[in-house]
Amino acid sequence: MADNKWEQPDAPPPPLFLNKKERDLVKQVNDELVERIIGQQLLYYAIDIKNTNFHPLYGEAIEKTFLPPVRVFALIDWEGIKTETDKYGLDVTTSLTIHFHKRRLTEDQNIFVREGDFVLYSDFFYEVLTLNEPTQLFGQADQRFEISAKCVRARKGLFDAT
Amino acid sequence: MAVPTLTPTQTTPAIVLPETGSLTTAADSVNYPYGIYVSNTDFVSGAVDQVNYTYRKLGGDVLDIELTQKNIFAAYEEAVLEYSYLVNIHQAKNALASGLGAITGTFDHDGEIKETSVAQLSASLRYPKFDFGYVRNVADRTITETGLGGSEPIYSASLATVNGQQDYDLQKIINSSSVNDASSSFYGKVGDSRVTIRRVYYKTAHAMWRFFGYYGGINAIGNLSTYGMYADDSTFEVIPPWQNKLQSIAYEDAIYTRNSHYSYEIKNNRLRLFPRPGNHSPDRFWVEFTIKTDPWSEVSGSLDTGRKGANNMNTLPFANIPYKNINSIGKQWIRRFALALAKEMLSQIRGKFTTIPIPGQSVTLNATDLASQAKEEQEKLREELKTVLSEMTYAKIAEAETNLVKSANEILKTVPYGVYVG
Repeated sequence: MADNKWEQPDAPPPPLFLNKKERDLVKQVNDELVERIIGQQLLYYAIDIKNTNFHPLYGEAIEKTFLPPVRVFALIDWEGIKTETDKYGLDVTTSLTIHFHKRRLTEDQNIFVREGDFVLYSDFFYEVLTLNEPTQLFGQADQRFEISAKCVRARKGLFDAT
Repeated sequence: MAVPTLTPTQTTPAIVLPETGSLTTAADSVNYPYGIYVSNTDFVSGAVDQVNYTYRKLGGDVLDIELTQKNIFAAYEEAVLEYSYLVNIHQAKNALASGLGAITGTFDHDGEIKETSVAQLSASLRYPKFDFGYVRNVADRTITETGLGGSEPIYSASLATVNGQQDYDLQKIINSSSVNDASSSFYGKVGDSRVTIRRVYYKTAHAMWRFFGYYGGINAIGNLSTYGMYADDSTFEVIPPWQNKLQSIAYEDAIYTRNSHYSYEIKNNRLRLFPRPGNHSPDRFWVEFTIKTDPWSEVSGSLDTGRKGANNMNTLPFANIPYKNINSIGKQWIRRFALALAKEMLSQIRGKFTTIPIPGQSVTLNATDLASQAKEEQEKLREELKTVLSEMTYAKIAEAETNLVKSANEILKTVPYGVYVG
């Protein structure tokens, strides 16, 4: 009986229609569009894991040390100010969804988006809560080109870079 | 939490049209599809300038143009070639009639003429001499058929009559002579070809022998050297050659139809003499004939030339018009056409995908607009040039000048005649 095991060749042929040139064109258009035409920007504060004294079990730190902030261009969905009422009273939250252009960040700016990092958008700090990579470029599995970060405004005292 | 290994490398050099072209790059033939004009420094300067022109026209100082300067060089070269193509077609219409049968050449993949001697003619740049064109070809052949000359070789052969034999197979006799008689003018030329008998006679073809009538003609003039009589007070009327020719035809006709003792008929190149040759008949009869040849071959030793020359637009010795011979009108057309080609290229690039993904959304670029603009501009430019050129064919110029003269005459009619007052 023939071996039905699937094997990937060592050097698989490149995609025929959508190759590096096409991917590069997409990156170029994205860079131009996001940075020079739309121009939404934020400061990205990456937490310095080495120098932050975080709790060994819960991973939280009251005082956080951060790396020098980097200006990043991204597409930002402002989700508004939400007021919720519960048994403790009113709670106001502000949230954003930030769509990062992954290649621009990782290849050109040396930034990797992580949960727990902070961004300064407008005059307020937001904490990156959850991450998603929802888009594969041209359906190619190894070409995820977007990082979608769900952020909420950091409560007072949680992060202070001033 | 482990520290991530950060080894970023930018692998995407942006492909953006520079504001100015590089003279060094433009001067290198590898940066052109054909490199036909790259040896011309003026062309190279034009290509460099075209980069800046395209950059400005497409708003490169505001937004990126995803083209390289090589794209622009290619567009510029194509525009020059397109201009050359259209102008050469126009000139072919002008020159073909004169160029039929004239020199042609062989061409390389660029369309350049290989033979130096032909290339040096620069035929596409010359003002051709009027030569009646195809009419000459028709007339030449027609003249032969009417027995007045032409370039078709007419051979002569004779046959000895046999007492009592009325029929002679001329095809066979002539062919035999063609095979065996190395001294004959048609030696080796008959083969399987059919001969066309054009004249049969039994006396040496001296057209002059009764040219001036039965009695030699008194005080009439022949060619002033071998024939004629005149007195000191004779006066001479100068007459054109065609009058002499018509006279001779009329006399010959009279001789053939009224004076000859013999007649003949030919069927399938078989000669039948009337009456049947006898003891007092001429010893020999002569025939004049032509040999049918294929229409593509020139007959060696004849005046029938030009079969290997230009036969239509394709074989005219027209190379690409040199860049230096394109004037300011052409140069501006080239700039505009190259810009339209650049738009076409850009539309191809921006239009490979209907939409381009951006984080969280997608964007549609202006490929469709660019494509329709490029197409429309190219068509318009081609049409404009073709229209202008069609108004300037030699035929149109002649027509316009005729109308101009007519109009001038109409104007002159309105000028009052002077009154003679004495």
